[in-house]
Amino acid sequence: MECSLYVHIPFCIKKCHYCDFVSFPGMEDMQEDYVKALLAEMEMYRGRTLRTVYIGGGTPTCMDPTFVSRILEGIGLCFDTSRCVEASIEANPGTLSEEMLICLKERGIKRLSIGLQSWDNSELKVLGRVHDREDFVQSYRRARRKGFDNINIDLIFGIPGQTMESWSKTLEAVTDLRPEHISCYSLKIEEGTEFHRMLSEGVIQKPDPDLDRDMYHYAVEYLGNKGYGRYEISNFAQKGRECIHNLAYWDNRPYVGVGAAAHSYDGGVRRWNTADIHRYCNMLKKGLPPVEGSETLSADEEMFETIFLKLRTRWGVSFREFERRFGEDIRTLYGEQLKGLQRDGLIETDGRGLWLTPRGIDLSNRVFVQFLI
Amino acid sequence: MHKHKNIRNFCIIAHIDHGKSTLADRLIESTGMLTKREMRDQILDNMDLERERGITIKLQTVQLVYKARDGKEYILNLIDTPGHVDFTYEVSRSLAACEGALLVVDASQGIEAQTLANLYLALENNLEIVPVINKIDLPSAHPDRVKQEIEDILGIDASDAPLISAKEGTNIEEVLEAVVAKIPPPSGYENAPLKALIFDSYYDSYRGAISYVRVFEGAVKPGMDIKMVSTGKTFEVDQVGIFTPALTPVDELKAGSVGFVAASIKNVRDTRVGDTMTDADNPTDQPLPGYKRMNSMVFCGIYPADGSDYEALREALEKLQLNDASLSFEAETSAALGFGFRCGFLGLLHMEVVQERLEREYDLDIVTTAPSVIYKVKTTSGEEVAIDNPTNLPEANNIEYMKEPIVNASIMVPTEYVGPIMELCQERRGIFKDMKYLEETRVVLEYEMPLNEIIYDFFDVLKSRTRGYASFDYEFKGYQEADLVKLDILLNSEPVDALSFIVHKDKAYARGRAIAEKLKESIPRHMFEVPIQATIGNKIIARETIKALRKDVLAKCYGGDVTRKRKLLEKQKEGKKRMRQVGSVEVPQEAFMSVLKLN
Repeated sequence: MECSLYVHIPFCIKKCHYCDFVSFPGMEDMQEDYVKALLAEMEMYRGRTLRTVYIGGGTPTCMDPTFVSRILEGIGLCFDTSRCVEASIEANPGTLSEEMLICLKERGIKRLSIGLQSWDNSELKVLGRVHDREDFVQSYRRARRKGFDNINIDLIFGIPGQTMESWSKTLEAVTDLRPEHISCYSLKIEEGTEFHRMLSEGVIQKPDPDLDRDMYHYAVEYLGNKGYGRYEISNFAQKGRECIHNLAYWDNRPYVGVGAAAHSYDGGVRRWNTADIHRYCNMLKKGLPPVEGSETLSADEEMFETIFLKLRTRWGVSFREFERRFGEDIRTLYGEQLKGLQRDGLIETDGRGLWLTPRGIDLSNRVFVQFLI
Repeated sequence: MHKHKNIRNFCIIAHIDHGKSTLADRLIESTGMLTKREMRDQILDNMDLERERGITIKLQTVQLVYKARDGKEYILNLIDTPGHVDFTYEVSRSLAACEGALLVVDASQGIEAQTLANLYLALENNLEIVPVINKIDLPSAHPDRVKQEIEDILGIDASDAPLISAKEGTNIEEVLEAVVAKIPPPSGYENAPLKALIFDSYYDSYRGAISYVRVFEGAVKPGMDIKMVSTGKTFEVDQVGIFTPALTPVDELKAGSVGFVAASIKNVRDTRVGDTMTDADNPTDQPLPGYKRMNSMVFCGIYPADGSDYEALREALEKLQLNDASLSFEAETSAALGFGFRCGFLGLLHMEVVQERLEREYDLDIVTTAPSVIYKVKTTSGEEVAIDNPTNLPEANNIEYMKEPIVNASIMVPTEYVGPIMELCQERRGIFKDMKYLEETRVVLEYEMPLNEIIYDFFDVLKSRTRGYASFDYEFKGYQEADLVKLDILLNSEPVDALSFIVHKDKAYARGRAIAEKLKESIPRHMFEVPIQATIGNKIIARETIKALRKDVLAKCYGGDVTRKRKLLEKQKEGKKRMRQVGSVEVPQEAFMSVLKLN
């Protein structure tokens, strides 16, 4: 069966203030061991047929190009990539050197996801980013020149100090560059981050939920007008340029994750690797799977996950597909809930499926909990 | 009168933190008894787990054997006294069991309100006061100044008061010598009819309620029938003994001695503190004076956070009551909080102690309603009703007048804080009575105050406005007519019974506004707008609005997030279950608690 591959690269130049991903700056010495460990872990899945590949982090492109090259080569040697339709890598401005871009291009990377976050240099400072917008423009143009024709730009809204005006400026500048895909993430201050500390010390304010929604609604409308359709809560793309890898997650389909803290899902069991890089490398040195935990999903859990993941997308839950997968009609299972959600204007339905309304997106957690039995 | 020359019965009075228990430990150690830790271990060895968890073990009523410098051996009974203001009566009964008291004063802090309150109780009971100046090891110690203070303020000769450091064990023997030399030995005839004072009790699940007694006359021994004077109930004595500190049986307890009596008493209510125990067959015709039945002064509703814990809460309250006769409770129902109990306490601290024990020792999550006092309401039909729950207050037009309890409050405070404290007391409808200088820099302020003004957060505010320097004590004075109203809180136009309270008319607006603001902070946004209103009768006196929820969405959800996000959603659903449903509004437990602390 075809599956998706996620490769986690837990290295970065500097930790951003909002970042709660498994990513560590200043661990250049570990990179060689880590690449070896990655290759060893991939061996454990040898022979799988990949539909998509996604290399995320951290900042994968902050590694030496030779390491990136070895990983990409390893993927090609280990898996059947003949039917692979998408291969993405995450990159930050300033890390996309000529050499890196050539390496990515040669090794089959088709899609770049660049973290710009904001067009405003002072906002970038607040976020703790190491680049400014000029670095970004340079990287972006360089990538275009090297022939990358499928690029995503990541943005954040709700940044402390950000105004509606600066947000609209960011959207304008970014759409002027005509990337194929734009992600807009509402800032969430997670525990353990620099922002969390700053919040507790009163250095920054809690994001205002009303402003957050105003910014989001503005983005949906603005990007829509510019030809970027919202196909998932935080993701916008030109027609046909949706991220196929991520769609697999929201379709609740199986994936293999390799690397520290990576998750894998085979349709019934979800496993996750240790987030400790040293431990990750050591276990693989000993030939052991670096798995830290796993859960076997009950039928109800699988059903619930399928519903809340699919509802995140524009297409929502198809009645027929649901019934094919679980043998039950979602309308019978959740008759009362669906009625209530419709009455509150949170979901819409036709004869074939159901999806979130704009209000339903804003309050999607309220919608999702209705499907918990 | 027969003197029992080798016995001394005494207690220690001190302000909190002035070193009472450390001194007690030192006295115990220096007479060759066990250390506190060993005592605890030893006692716990004999106990089953249930008791270990449920009951505060009375460690410090203990019999010490001391060989004095005069070469004779003395039995020193050190009697513990409860530590705080709500238990003034219990304290007075413990004092009544003694002939003398050690007055421990901190060499750096000097005399405090509680010291004074307990000292007056001791003087009322004609105890010989032996001052002891503790913490002389502190750099800030001023033993001479404190001595002077004791003489000036208390009128007690402190010239040869032992100067000690209980912490470092300095001069502990001086204390023991002073006990022997200054405290009079007990007197009383051993062959008179039994007359014993019950000064404490605790519940033992095997032997029933155990009475702690001071025998004034006669003797008590196993096999004899005893009678409790206040109830007339009789019991057969199973065992008598002394505190070593483990309960150690002896053949009999004679006049002058202190010990315990076990008589298969089923309920601590049958062995009430302050009552006289006598011989059922040959009762004394002169019971000890001073027995008072204690009434609850402060009430609040206690509800299980999770409705299914109702029975567990009942059991916990029953168990607490076994050991605490002053706790009362009865079942009540609240539209907002479901099934729970209306509980009565001696005072605020007692209430806090009970709440804390329910949570800590019984592991219960509880929601408490605003505390209330007992109001006396005269209805237009001429009836007088006592109201301890605002929900039960008759309609305003059926009320002729209402009375509220008033207390005499005394606050001891450094002079620099007199202004803020007077302001505070005035805010709380206090009537200034007197101000006495204890020394140049310290005064006692005497106020008459309505009890319902101090049951909220008076202590907290007092502490914060004096940076912790004020000490406070109060006693019930009587009932007084007052212009009181019932304030109701409405959420989305539905009244929330658990948030109603009775308040003076002049303070209703401010309180209503403060509560509405607090609720706005603590009730999460709903999918619709939620108005909060404070009303008196049909009149709205304060209004706030909780804006409708606009955002509840997870921005990111990729492969590595699914498990965590699913768990978050499950938790969100659980959280919803723990909310209290008031009409269409979901109110978190914390919201009910948040209105108790308004400052």
